Amino acid sequence: MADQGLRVTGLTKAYKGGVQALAGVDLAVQPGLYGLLGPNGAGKSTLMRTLATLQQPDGGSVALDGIDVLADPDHLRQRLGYLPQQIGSYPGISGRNLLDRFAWLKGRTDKQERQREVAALLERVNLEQDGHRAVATYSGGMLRRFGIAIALIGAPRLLIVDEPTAGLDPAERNRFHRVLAEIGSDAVVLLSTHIVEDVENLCTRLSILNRGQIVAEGTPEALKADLEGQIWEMEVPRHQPIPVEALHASATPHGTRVILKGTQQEGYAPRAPRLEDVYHHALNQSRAGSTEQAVE
Amino acid sequence: MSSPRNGHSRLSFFCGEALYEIKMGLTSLVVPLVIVVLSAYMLLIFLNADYMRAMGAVDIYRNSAHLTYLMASGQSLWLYFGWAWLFAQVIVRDQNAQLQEVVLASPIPLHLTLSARFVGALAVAVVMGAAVFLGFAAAPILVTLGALPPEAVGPMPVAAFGWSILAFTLPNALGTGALFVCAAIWTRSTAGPFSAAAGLALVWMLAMIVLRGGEVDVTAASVLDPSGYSEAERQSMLWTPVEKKSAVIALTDLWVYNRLLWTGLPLVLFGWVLIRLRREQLAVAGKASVDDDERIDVPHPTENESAPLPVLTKPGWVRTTMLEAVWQFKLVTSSFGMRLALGMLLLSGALGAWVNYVGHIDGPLVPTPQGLLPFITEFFYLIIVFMVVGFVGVLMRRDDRLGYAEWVDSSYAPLAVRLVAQCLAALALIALLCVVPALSSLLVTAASAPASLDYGFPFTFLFLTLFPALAEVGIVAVIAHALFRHAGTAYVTSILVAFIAIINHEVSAVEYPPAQIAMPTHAHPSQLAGWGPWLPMVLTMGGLKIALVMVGVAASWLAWRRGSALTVAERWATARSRLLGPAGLLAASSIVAVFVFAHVLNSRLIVEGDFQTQAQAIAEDIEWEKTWWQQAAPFQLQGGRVSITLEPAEQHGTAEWLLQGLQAEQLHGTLPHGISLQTATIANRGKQQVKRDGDHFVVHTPGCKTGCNLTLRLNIEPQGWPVETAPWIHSSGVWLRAENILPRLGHDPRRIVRSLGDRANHGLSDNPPPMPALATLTPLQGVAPAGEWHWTIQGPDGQSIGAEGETNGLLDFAYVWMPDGPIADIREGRTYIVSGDRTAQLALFAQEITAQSACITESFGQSPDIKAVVQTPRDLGDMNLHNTILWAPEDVAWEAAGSGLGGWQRQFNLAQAMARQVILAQLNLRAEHGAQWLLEGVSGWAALRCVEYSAGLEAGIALRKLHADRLIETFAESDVPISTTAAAYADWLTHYATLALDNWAAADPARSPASMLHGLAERGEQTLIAALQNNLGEQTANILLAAPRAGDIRVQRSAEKLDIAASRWSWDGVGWQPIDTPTRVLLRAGKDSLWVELGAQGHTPGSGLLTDTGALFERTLDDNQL
Repeated sequence: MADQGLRVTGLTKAYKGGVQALAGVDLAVQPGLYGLLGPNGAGKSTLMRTLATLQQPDGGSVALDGIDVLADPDHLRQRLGYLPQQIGSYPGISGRNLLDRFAWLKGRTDKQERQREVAALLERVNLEQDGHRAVATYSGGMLRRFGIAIALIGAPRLLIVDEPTAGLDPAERNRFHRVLAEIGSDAVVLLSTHIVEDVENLCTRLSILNRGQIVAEGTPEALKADLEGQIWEMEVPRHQPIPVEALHASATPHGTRVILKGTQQEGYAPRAPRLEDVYHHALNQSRAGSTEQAVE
Repeated sequence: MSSPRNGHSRLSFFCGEALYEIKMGLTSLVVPLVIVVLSAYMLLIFLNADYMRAMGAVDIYRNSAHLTYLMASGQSLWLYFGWAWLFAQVIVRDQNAQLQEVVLASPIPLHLTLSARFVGALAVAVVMGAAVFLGFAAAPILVTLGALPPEAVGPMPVAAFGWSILAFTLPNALGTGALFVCAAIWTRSTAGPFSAAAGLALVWMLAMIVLRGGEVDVTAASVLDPSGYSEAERQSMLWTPVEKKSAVIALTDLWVYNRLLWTGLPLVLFGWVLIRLRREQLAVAGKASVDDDERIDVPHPTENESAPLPVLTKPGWVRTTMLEAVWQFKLVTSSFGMRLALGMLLLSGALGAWVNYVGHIDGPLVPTPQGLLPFITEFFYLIIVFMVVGFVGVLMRRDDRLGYAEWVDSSYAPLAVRLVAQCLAALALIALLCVVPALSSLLVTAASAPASLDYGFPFTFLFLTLFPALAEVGIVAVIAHALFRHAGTAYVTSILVAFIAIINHEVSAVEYPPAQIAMPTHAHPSQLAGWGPWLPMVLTMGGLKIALVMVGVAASWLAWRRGSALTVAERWATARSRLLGPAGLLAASSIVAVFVFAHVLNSRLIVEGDFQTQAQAIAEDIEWEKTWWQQAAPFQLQGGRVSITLEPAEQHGTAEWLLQGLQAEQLHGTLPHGISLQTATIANRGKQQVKRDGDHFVVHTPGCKTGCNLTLRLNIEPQGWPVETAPWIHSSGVWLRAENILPRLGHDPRRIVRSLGDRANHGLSDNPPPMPALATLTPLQGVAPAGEWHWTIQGPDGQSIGAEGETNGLLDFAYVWMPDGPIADIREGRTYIVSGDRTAQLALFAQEITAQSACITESFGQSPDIKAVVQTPRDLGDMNLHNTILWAPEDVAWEAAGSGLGGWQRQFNLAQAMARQVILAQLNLRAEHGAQWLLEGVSGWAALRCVEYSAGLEAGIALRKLHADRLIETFAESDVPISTTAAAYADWLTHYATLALDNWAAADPARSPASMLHGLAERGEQTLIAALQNNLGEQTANILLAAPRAGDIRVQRSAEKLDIAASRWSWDGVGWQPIDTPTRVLLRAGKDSLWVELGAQGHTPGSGLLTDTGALFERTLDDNQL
């Protein structure tokens, strides 16, 4: 079963002007939820679009269940569910009708099956009461749910979701998490997001991407375990300087919560490592590595 | 963007915002595209001599001033769409960048911002409109490259550029821009401005085609035409060639009203909209709704149904394609814009057809489907072309929305499924747009002539002729959207291509039918012959167009983007890889199909047919003049016999023409298309030497100086397909005239090329060569000079007329054979061969013939014997009398309902045909100087008198006005120098000679048509002009036969007095020059008349028509009536 799942090897992609969006990405994703974290400009969207066959990589390979999908993109498209980062309005048509249309574009040509699937998906994303409404009248959250329904057409083997819960209220977000978890029981779900908490809660494995490269990879637990005993925190009152060596800092009602990595310093309390700390640590490591390379 | 509250003045803010709008406009791909394509197209126009002819720019500079006015205003039609996009950006640019809330929340004055952006967009719009002048400015390059002679390009008309911009481009952009911004504000999208542009195009169409083209009301057209082109054309029509080089468009009352309507009113509207505009109106997204019928009632899944769905395995892509095509079609047709457009189209089509066809200037007409459909196609073509481009674009860009493009691109469905489905939907949409004109024609026919209702013909006609052309337009739009990622660029490109197609359609810039991309196939099936004669050509043309559409589909398939952020190199690589797949196969097979169809058309139209471009025809005539004109040889005949055998099913036949008493050392002749001269034999002397050069031949008859009998054996094989005229022989019938089968003997001066430009281009002197001896010339009508002629025509079984006949005059005859169908009705001793639905018109037709025949007898002392009247298919010439058969084509003689101007015009045509026959029978005219003037002028004048006698002064005035209008048009369109009337063979001669003789004769009741012919038959060796000088007096004849003269009587009324003034002009070679004015004019009221002195009148002298009795035509008859 080594061939099961998604395997990305040495994927590279450069844009006009020399921007290296992907600089040799290697991923091995087994069925289940897989998180992809990274700052803006890290190459996440390029990786997602490439995996969704929307872009051609300059080099490397992508295989789904052992099939080279760069050579046979239709193999992937048949098994792909994709939720883009942004979804706009679509004028003059109801949600149900549009979903029906994407179902036949996915290959669901049997009318009975298609109608059953459309109804089930609308129910799954809590839009069964609004299916007859024009997509153009949907709110941002409804559009997001509608997009999720489109991505789930045909029970995809590989589901790529880019910021899936942005714009959803907590109830809808939880509902979507359950949907993802359900799909992840036998499919590969690649979840790209800025919300570290989502990855921490849902994903069995994750990668952190920076400057087109994977800078950390593993299970949340293993990644956190690497930082055990090295993370410290303190709430710095407002108007006091934040130490330059801070791993990251976040606002609190009375000041700023500063997180440090390394040895304990005065006023700092030990803290159980979180995925957020892992993320920032990986990015810092990556930046430090780049600086060293530049110095060399 | 800067805020005026942050240290900037409102003025600097306004300027900054306007400059930003200018920068954004100029840096879009649309503007450079327009500039490059339009400039290049202008250069192509300058190179196209036929186009320049159509624009009235012959024998003057091709970059003359008058053309700048026409182009500056005329191009507005397509610029509306470019401007619609440009002005829409004022509102939608922020929206597209999802910045509208940020912008609207900032402390900027909204009205000032939008006004500044409007001004910026206006500046860019003027730049786009001025692009046409770049082509003018670049015209000298064509001389440098040797593509045009130096005299074809004049100095750059800089003043005309500036004036064109001020008079047309700027006010057009200002007014339409205001409308487009208002539409963008209302819809918060480009849909509103594009709909407004379509509405403007519709109004333009109504003004130009209905009001102006239909000659319903030229004044109203000048006011209503939003582009101002109608007024520019109206003024330029009156300019002489010299004036065209430097004339300035006058800001007439009509221009002012037009601008008030299309610039003033939109600006007021814009101001009102701006004042009422609130920020939240722009911040809220456009409303969207879905009709109830779109709500698909899908049951909730039951427990069983909730079971996991089967995995997608092997989808049926054909079924998917059909599902997708139907979905796309339903979506585009369910939009409000489309429904509104279809409704307006149906209504305007029905109204347009009613006003412009039933109530035509040549009408009222009986709306038969065969007559109505070509008109309605012409009427609808322009607007449908733009609709096709617009709605196909909407269809192709449907998924061009955030997220959805990525979904469809990453969907399992192959690219071909989506592309083919979109193309199928586009074709279905085009078919729907073809159905609308068909329905309009049915509505009009059902309302006005239910007996002519034919439910199938309109649909067949439009699907065979219009649909393939529109499919070509549609595929151009598909290719544009496949190539360009940016929607605006694709829209503008496809609209630009549509504009070029329309221009080509309007001025026939492309003559070879297979090369007439996007133009409807020319076919005029008739009630008599049906589709039969046209069908093979129409189907092959349709096949070619559909094959080209398939090439376009393949090209789009190769070029289509699947995915995002693709580089040119990646797209090129993808296209190459697709070339090896089904897309390449489709491209290859459709290219092969194009070649096959093109080859068949080339064979049937050019190799076997008689198609020639105008340039080719001119070149051939020039060569003919160079080779043969000097070799003209005299010939005389006593008569002879013609024996013709026809096999219509094979479009084949033979003819044997015995020329008796031929006196000639060599006999020249010109063969009609499809006829070949096999042998020329003299009895007892055997075959004679024949030399052939194209359609010209010469038989050397050295022994015939004193007389011999020569037999010409001819082979009849008119196998090719028709281009402009209907075929005269087909299995469904034969409608032949002598000129179709027999060579015209002698040299025909009408073949001499008279255009100075054409002569210079082919190395000929400006002046046409001198006329050879009278005996060398061809007869003025018919194929051989007067003699004792006898003919027999042997056809297959069936109903025929004219199979045998004889004459003692010019050889001219007609023959009609039809296996079935026509009705033979005998009335007052004449046989009428007509289709069944024309029998109701026979009584009136017979009355008209009797009345006009009686009048011609009164005028000339005799009238011709008309034994039969035959209805012929459409496009088979004019109404004329061929020996004893009145040739009455369906489109000329049978469309008029019989009342009004249409009825009077038919009576005029009838009377003129009879008068011509009388003149020719008396005079045996050959094509010498003055002969055409005499024949057309005297017959037209006699016909005018006859209609006035039988139908009254009102009819006479209406016909005089009609001829005057057409004379002015033909003068303006003439591509040859206007010569003396004696030496003229141009279209204007028949109108001018008719009107001039009519005016001149009004002065003296003794001047009658018969008196004009007095003594001419006995003139012997005297030239016709000398004989006319003897007959009329040298001075009178010289005036009548000199260059054209014009007159204008003006009547000014006030409460106290009536002031009558008159002016006269004479053509001096380059323009109208004033000459002596008359001292009195004639007030005509039927046969009574009264002289009226010019100047103030104490009282109104009576009622009637004031006429200047000089030999001239009256320019404006409207103000001549008392």
